Amino acid sequence: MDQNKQGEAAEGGNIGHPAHGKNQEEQSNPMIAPTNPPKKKSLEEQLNDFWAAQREEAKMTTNFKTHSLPLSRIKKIIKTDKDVKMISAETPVVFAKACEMFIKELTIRAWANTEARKGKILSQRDLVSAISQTASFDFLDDIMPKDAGLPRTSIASTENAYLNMPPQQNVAGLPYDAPTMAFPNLNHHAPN
Amino acid sequence: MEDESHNNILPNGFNTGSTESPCLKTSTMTTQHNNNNNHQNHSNKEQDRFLPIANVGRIMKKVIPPNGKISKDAKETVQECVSEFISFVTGEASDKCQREKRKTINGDDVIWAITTLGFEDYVEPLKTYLQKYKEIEGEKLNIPKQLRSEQRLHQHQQNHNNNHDENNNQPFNGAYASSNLISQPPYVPTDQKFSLPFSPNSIQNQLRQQEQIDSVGHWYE
Repeated sequence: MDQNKQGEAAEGGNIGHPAHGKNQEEQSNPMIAPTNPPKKKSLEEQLNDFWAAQREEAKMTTNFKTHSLPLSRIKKIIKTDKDVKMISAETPVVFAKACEMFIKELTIRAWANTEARKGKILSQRDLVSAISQTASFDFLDDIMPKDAGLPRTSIASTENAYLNMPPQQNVAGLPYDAPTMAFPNLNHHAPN
Repeated sequence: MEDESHNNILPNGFNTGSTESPCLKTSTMTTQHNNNNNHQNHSNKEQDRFLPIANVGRIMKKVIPPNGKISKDAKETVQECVSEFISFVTGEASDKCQREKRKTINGDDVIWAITTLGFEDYVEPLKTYLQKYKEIEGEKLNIPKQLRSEQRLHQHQQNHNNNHDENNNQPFNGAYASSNLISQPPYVPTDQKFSLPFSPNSIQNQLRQQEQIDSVGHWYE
């Protein structure tokens, strides 16, 4: 938690780089050795570049008919809350933009974990680690599956999380070892 | 999208079903391909609960290196995370509306909720995005904009759109009064005696008038 707060403070103070620099940095990421201090700094720089790019992108948007996410589906998810009565036309539009940024931020943080374990495929455990390391993602803890091979207490600590991810785990489509799944839906997806 | 927005404004709710057939079709194909599931009910339910996995996957690929790959379970996990994010923010925005005794959740409520829930970095892009949306939609849809403005006024919300000044084309009723009066020449006496006041004839006439007056006075006595 403290690390997250420090990271956020650093983010606030730093000035973002242009998107082009961001792309170069992303390409050079695989070359960086998997050590904690450089990785954090690299992740912070990526996020700063990301948010700077988002601010610029929002200013240049002129077409609101094409969204990266379907508004009708967003409406249905909003409607699952029974307390919600009516929403204005702009609400799903704002949500579409917010969800896009949410997916991107989550993916950037997860990919940092993929690189830390020298992996080439972003997997669920990378997401679980990213979520445990980010304060604003605490609301997702309840829906995250508990992996027997990766106890939750270890997830809370970044260093321990890395220790529990040896290089030989670089295998695609890791099977679910846990007999019980916190989220029934995932259990159904497992056979597929 | 435009039709959808239009439908959404008039009823002031979203009882209307989805009108994006192409998207749903794509979603159905994606779901079937991923789940390899023959239960249509389950597929429909899956569609309603999550955003399409294809859309989610495309967005994820934008922020990882070109040679990077994303596992299927990761995409599915993000699908669930996004739905949770929407519900999380919606709950906060809905609570705010209830406290303020308003029925409709608008864009500003969503942005407020996102700020409250710790996603500060999202706020500036979203405010810019919403402002742009209002400007463009306001120009495109004149009539729905008026309805939207009325809703906002009814909800005691400040309207940021530039109101288009209406020109009052009232007919000019100028009263035209024409004077038909004809100027008449001054009265010119035709009696020549009056034109010569000091002539002897004139004096005699005056005396006669005095006599008449005396006669009248005698009659009263």
